[in-house]
Amino acid sequence: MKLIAKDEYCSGCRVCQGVCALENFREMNPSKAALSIEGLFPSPGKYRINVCNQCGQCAESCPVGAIHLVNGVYLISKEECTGCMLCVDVCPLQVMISHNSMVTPIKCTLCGECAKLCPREALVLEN
Amino acid sequence: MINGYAGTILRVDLSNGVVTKQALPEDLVNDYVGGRGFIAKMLYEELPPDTDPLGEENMVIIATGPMSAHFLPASGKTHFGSKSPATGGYGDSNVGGHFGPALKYAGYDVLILTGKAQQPSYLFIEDETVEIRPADQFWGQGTNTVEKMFKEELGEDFQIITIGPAGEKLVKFACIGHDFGRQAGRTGIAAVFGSKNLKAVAVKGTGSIPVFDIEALYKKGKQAFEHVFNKPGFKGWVPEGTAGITNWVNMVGAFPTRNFQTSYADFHEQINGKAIVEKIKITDKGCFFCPTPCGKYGKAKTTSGSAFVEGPEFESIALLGGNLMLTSIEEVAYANYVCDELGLDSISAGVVVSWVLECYEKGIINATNIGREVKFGDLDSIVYLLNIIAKREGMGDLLAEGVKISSEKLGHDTERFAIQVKGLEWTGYECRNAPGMMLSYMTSDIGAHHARSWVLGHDIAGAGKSVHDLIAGGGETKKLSKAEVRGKSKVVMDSQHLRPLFDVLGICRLQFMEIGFEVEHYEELFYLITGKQRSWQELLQVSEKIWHLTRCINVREVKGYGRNYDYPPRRFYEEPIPDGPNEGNYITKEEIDLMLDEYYEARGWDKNGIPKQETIDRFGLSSLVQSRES
Amino acid sequence: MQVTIKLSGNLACIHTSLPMEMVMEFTVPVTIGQLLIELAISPLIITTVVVNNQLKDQDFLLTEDSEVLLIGPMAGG
Repeated sequence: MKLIAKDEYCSGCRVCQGVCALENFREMNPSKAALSIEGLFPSPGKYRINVCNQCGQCAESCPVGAIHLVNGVYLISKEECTGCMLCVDVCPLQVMISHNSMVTPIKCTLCGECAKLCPREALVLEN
Repeated sequence: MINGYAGTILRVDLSNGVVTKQALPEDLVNDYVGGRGFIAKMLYEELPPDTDPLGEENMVIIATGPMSAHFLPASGKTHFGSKSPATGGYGDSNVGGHFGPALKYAGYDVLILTGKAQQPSYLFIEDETVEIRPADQFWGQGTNTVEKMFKEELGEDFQIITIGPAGEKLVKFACIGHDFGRQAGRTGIAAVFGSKNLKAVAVKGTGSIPVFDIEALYKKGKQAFEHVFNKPGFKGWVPEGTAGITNWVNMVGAFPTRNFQTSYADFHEQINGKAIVEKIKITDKGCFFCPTPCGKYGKAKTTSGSAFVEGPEFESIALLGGNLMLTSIEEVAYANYVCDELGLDSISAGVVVSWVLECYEKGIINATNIGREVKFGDLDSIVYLLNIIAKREGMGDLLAEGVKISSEKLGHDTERFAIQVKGLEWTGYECRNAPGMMLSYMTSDIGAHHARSWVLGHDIAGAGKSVHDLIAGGGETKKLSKAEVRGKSKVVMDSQHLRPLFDVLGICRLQFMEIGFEVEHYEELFYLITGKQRSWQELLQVSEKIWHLTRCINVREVKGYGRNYDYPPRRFYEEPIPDGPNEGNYITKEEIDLMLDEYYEARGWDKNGIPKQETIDRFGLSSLVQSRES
Repeated sequence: MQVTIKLSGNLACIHTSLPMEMVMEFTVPVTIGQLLIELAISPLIITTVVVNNQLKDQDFLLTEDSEVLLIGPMAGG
């Protein structure tokens, strides 16, 4: 399973970020989402969606091996994570999110809620 | 902690840098709910007597509402309020985008700015950190340019509101820019920013907002979004956005051209929503949590210049396209860009420019006065005028005062076609055969504006009777009969309570008004967010109360305020429409007076339009307001 | 022939005496324009017509079991 982003449909609404934080934290707080939306304005006048593609570089870089591959998804074990934030630096898409209220960074769990609710069908869950 | 709200009012005195964080009072929340309600109440209570709108004592209040930033469609709206430099009275304006949610996630429901900074400054807010920082490197620059600089310096997560050069020069219809093409456009609040040496506000917020029942809100919010997706209008409306109404407005003879001389543009299909989609659009650009992005971001190439621009919206198509006779969508979009970058309200700027062009045509202004030849339909003339206004150069210095003051100073009967009410320029609907809409513009609290009340559909339903008969009989003529002027008060008043309610709640009204999303959803969402059971009817009553309050603010702030401030320009009751579907139609002065009499009676105001004591009492305003009825 | 007619929210606000959804019977096929005359709705305030989820203009001839959505004018911005 993969989360595919279709940038050309994105309107910048960030419903994806809203639902991600609600699904994973039950909090009204889009800054806790595991994906980011970047505006490329004024030129070329579009949005870029940054989502985890499960490349695994975070797992490789983790000095304590706290990131595990589970059914095709890389997940952080909160118990093992030391909060060193090396994975945040290493992530090539900058979608390992550090948040000031948490020790452990936030990572996409491939729950698919963003894809279900994107009003623009700009996020798609594919096999 | 108050469910639904961030819980804090942030006060910043720019004179001495003092930052105060005040707990959001429960009674303010209960009595005024949020957004426009907070603004009206605080302006009434806290504005010192005889405040100069461009003086240090004026306040800018920026407020979201209880539903802002929450998990429901289009919850990203932010309201601005101040004593308006354009009208001298209650001024407010609204913007979408993402600024309000960022402010709320940073922990603040309201931001109040007072005083004046010693040097050009910007306000930096990152959660608890609030700092006044120097803005020399930004001062003098356009809104898009500045926003890009801020994003590069501070990061993508910061939301920026900024004034342009026009605000710095205290142009009375200067606007605040945000998110590369959205504006808090009306009533010149950007000039108040400029008078405070405040260039911009940059906010990042990483907190949560407390919710009464987060589990239920999550579920209900998802349903609400899905409900919008399933509405028949959903897919069809988005590609053109508000521009989609252009053809219809022309068909019913309500589209301004040539400074509102005529009401139909034969070139309207070259500047409508379809033209946007076919010729310039790149992205459907939307606001926070909005499923129906109304923004049409694109690139316009013209002989006067090329630019990336969000728009044009219907209003810009009307006031820069029809009104200024720009006949290609690229030219309209480019003129829109020039307004945006300079930080000029494209509505007011369009009306001021069209007034100049009419004066020039009539020989009242000449090339020596204005600096060069200028004419309708010429993009270079228009760009030139926008620039001299923003810079206050030459005659631009007078024009920057708005069309009311410009015409009073110039004389030669030019006030007759200065298209404004109370000092605020008219927006995109010609109303000489739309009495309800005419009344809406006349009685709108901030001056001529359509967002308070929009009833054009009602007017046209009544005006079409004879056409209806003609079509039934197989006739070809599409002329409208004169619409009935009596009995418009109720429909206008209902709209004046309904539309601004969204400005109180802090959300966009488009899903409801244009896509058909039902109010029952808002009632339930309000409860799940705040824990308070407040019916839509009850909320409408709060909105009605606020209507009387803003009238009271105007009565107090504007000397001699009353009926004479509610009249439309003389063109509208002296000149029949010369051609098009509404040829020959207009509303007489007697009819204007009749509509006002009826409206004041329905409102509980005296014959001069001043709220009576019994009305002030009835709406629970007496502790705040003393009646000044004649 | 039977036709189902729905009114958009903003149209219902103008024609408050009409139900938001109704079923009508016709002995012969009618155009949208003729339908509007029957309903006493001015064609001037119908900005969009959707028949069986497709956009149609007012000349369109309706057939049995058509579902018609009439949309009124929406405020610009």
